[in-house]
Amino acid sequence: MNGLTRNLSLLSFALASMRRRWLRHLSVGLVYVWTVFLFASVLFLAGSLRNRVRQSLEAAPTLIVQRLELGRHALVDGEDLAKLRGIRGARRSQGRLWGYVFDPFVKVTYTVQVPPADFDPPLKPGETILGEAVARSKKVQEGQNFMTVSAQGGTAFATIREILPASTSLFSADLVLLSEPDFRKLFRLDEGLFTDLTLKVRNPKEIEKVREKIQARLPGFRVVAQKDLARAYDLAFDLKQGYLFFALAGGLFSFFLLVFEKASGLHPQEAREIGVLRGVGWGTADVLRVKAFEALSLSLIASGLGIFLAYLACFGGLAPRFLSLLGGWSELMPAWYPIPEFGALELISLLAFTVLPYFAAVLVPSWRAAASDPDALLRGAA
Amino acid sequence: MVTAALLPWLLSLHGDFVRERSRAGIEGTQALVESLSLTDPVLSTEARYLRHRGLADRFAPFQDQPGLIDLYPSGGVYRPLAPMFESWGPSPPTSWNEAPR
Repeated sequence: MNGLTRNLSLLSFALASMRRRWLRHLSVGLVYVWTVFLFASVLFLAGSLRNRVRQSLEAAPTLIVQRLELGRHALVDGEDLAKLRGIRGARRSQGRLWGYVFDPFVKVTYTVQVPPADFDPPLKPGETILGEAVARSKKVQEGQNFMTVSAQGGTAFATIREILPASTSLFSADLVLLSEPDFRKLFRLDEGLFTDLTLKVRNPKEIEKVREKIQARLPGFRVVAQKDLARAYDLAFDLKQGYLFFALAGGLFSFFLLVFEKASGLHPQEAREIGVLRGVGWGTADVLRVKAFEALSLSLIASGLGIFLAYLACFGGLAPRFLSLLGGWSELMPAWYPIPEFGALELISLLAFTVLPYFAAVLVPSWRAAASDPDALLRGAA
Repeated sequence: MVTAALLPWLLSLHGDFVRERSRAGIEGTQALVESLSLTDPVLSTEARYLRHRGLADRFAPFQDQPGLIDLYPSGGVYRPLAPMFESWGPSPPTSWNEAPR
């Protein structure tokens, strides 16, 4: 008998033995599927969110400059912007106008922002563009009127020109875009004052130099770089994924414990079977190979099913419900759909976490049984 | 056996389909981020330090009033981003620097 046919018959023997004890394998299999499902969902969602934020932040301003007063973020004025404009290598330096407004009617906080001068087509006074979640919470549509009040007592009253598409809502869900006069009226903000300053630096090698120059020209200001921001978000999602893995680790350990207990307290019938096989002349290696085939088939089926279910849950429509795990608590939850972004590396690391320990938990007790005396096994003394 | 072999293929097909369909969304988001100079995703909107985490100070939750505790559940889950920055914090007074060129 050559190697292949030998292994195939051992495999079919293993499958037949699994079928004989189907209930037991089914129960372990279900727990296995659930474990893989939980880990795979966290992996998929975190990866997707991380990728999406990373991709989008590539377009963010290279440097954000904020004035600090009493250790807190404060408004900047036109002179600060003028100092920024003279720096060589800095492009598109502009004063941003944005703020928060608590809407007393629906009890949520919006981010109110003024689109830059080069916004196309320009936003006229009396017009507004809303984020998708704002329109949802206010129950308004294009062409209707939108009104909000600020804590300073100013009001904004505008016609909704457009609602930003839901596909961009990860970054735009809570935005209310107003024209500059409307914004200043809403917050009773004087001409020439801005919330903060942003600029683009085209050459990545110049970023540090530009940052130094800004710090020299605007002492006491904080300069946040886009690359730091993107990296910090990356780390933040890693951390959240880590929290969830940590929380799930208990489940993983108890699963291994279950498998190990089941296998090490080798069922008398199973011990007898190993004894019979050894008695009729099988070697330890053959017995172990059968056990390995059993573990392999169960692992493949269970992790395949677990990954498939996780895929369905994350990318197949159930996603928004699962998202509350990795997103935040929010009245204005963005309605984004995760995009499958994972590679072989993620899947291999996932399988390494579940399949390898499972193999160990099955094979070690079986090896102990197979290595002992067949006579003792048959008598049930092992 | 056949199902097991087909499944990954079907999933990758679905993945390609979803990616293709959402390309407009990704490009749209990038265009919007570029045009409005956005800096943070809308993951949580309860407080300013949760909405714009990238721009918040480490102590922002405690800044609104002395002795205030961090009130929001998201605050317990989101670590502030500021300490992760390489050179975060206000720039030093001018006298520490060479004169602007």
